[in-house]
Amino acid sequence: MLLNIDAINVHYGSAQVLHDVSINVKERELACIVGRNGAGKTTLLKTIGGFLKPTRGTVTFEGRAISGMRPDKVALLGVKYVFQDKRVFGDLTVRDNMELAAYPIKANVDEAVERLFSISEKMKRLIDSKAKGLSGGERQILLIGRALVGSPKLLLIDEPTEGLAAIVINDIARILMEMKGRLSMIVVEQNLAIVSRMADRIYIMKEGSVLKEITDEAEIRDQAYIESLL
Amino acid sequence: MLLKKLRDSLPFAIGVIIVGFMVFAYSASVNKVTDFVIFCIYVLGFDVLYGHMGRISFGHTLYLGTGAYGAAMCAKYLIPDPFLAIAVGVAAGAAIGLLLGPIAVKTKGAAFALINVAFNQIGYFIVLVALASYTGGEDGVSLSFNSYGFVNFSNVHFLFAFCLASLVAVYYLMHRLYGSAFGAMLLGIKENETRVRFLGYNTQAYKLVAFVISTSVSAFAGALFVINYGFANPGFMDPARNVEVIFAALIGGPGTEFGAVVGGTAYMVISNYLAKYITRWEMFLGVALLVIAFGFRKGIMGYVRELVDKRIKAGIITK
Amino acid sequence: MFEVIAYGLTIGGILYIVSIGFSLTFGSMKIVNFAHGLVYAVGAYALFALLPVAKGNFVIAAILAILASLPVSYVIEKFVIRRLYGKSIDYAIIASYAVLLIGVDLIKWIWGASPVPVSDPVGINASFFTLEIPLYRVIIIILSFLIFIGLSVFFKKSIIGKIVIAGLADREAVLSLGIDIDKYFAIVFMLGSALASLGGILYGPISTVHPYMGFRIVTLCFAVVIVGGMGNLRGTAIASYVLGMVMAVTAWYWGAAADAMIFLVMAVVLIFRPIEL
Repeated sequence: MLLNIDAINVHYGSAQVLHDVSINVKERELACIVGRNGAGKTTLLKTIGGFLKPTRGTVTFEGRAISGMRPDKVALLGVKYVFQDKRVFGDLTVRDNMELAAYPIKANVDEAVERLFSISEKMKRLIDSKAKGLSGGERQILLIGRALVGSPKLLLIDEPTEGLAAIVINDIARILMEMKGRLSMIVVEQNLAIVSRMADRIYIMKEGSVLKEITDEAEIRDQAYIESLL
Repeated sequence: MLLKKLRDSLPFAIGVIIVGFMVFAYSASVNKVTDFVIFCIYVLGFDVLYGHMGRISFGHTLYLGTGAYGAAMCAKYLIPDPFLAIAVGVAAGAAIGLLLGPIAVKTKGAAFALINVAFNQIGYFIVLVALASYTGGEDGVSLSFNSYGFVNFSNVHFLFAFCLASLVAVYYLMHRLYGSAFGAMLLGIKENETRVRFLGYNTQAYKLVAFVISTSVSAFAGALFVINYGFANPGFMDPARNVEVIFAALIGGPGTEFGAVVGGTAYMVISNYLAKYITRWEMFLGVALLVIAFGFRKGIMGYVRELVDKRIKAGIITK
Repeated sequence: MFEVIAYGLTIGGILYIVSIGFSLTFGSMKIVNFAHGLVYAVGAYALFALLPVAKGNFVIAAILAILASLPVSYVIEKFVIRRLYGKSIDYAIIASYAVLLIGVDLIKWIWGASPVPVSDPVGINASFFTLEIPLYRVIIIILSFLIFIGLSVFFKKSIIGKIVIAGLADREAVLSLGIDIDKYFAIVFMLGSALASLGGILYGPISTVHPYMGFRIVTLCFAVVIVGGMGNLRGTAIASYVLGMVMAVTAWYWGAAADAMIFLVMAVVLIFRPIEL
């Protein structure tokens, strides 16, 4: 078990947003978290990433307790977070963005850039453009490329296909499928077609709790079934 | 139980204030304590914005000075009638509040603090230089006021009684204000303005009203100062003196009327008496502010309140 | 007219040098750092105190003075800014104000409340065509341009500069890459403070060195940052020179109104571009 989250509770001030949430992710597994808006999916990811501290419960990564650890330290352990809203460092170039990702782990920038190109040919001509000029899909690709620098063990991705056109969504889905089997991922997604296609495990969240965990492949591939549970 | 009744009792608080100040005045100096009383009114005005709306202003002497100069100009160029002067001073304060309020209340946090600084600096410049021919510039103006029989403001006892009565009146008004729906609204805005707005309230209007109340009360204090001293000078509007009222509000305990009075008295005592023993008392003030910022945030009244509440709870449990 | 422009550029240059640090702290930590004015004043007073030590050599005294101000800014960063950063902005403002108060009183204690004299180290005039201007002011203007260029290169090309730019825009994202952004903000804080003390050193000879100079410069820095945008480096530069010009032009017509005019501009900007914090 790569990541184990045991009965965590998270509060925003005095309001409780996560109630006894437990999830598990194996090595090289892709787990999806689905649920309506406000279900607590982003809160869960943020807690794993170290941006929020659980008031109760533990987050264990590779056998080591990381609950309450600073986000930069969590990242250095091999857990990389890809935020919602496709926020890139707009005033810096695409190359600069990759350089920043490589710096803390002393990775080779050129290698990282090459790997970005192998994910998406488009990036070749955008490499020296300011990141703020990129389209939504291009930003998402850059963010994933940034997160992959240094071969992390676990990626936390928040709504990667949100707001993207169908063709671009396919692009992103293809990239995620290619990454499958090389590292673990926890993906928060509203697009159930993608979820059904690529997930090894699905967690359904509602109002701050985990409603159901689905590991049976037949059930996962049955999109209508997943939809009925929401 | 008795303690609970006392804690929530308005007459008790007012009684303490009246008796406290009278004892203080007549054992020390009536003239000085009158000063303290007026300063407390100023702090009450400041605390409307700081303690109750959560906005700290680093330029509040503008409003104190506006009241002072409003009263002074009235006395100098119209009639030196004390009541008229006070009215003019307060009106000037309200007018400035209405003028600057719509701009200021759009901001919060550091922006609010700074825009008040800017206004303060501009006002200071106006009274010090721009309108120096009217205001007397650096030297200011000295005035004397009419008296009518026993209503004689040059009589220290009458003046003290009048100011103390004013403090009680302002205190009472503030108490009613904070206990009312308006007060609840201000608190809501302090905690989470967006939510209040989403509930459909025009927070801008409420903030503006609070702002004008704050400037008017501060101006009232300014006018009283002028009557007490018999002169007005730019020192009333000096931006460097904002630390006085900020310190007073903080040390007394932001958000309670009684705290404002305690804080005002505390500051005045420190600046008047401590200065005799500690020459570097301004540094002492800075250190005290640091201590407050790092730990003592609720001020004196905050901790007294906690103690009293604990006692009451213990009493209820044992019953 | 030429004199006014030159004066405006000089003031603008000084404002820029001092405001950069203030703007960066504001942009990165959302803290209004009143104590920034203290480092500025310390620079000027340290210069005054060290000139005799440096046997009258201005450059050496200036370097020593900047070095002397570093421990002051380090202490401020470590014990005040870092403690309150992220916890409570309001109390950070009050605490930094308290630090300035304490520092000003210390200065008064050591050097007295009256201004101390620091004279123009160059003393000669440069001539452009038929006009004359003190060479010292030309040096200030050139120096401020060099610093502007230097900082632009630093922020565009160096990795630390890029980290700070990214961090100013999106702190969480930088953390998620494994970078301890606060460490870099602290480095930038020290840099900004060193520049503030340089500003005080440079301004000393052409203005009065008195204990309250820190208060004055901080309020002017506010104006620059409000007009130019918080944490916006190019905006700070433009605003500094524009406001410097405003001051110079105003001083030409009505000397005492120079400062007040800056605040008028600041208030007007705030009306049309209110900042949310």
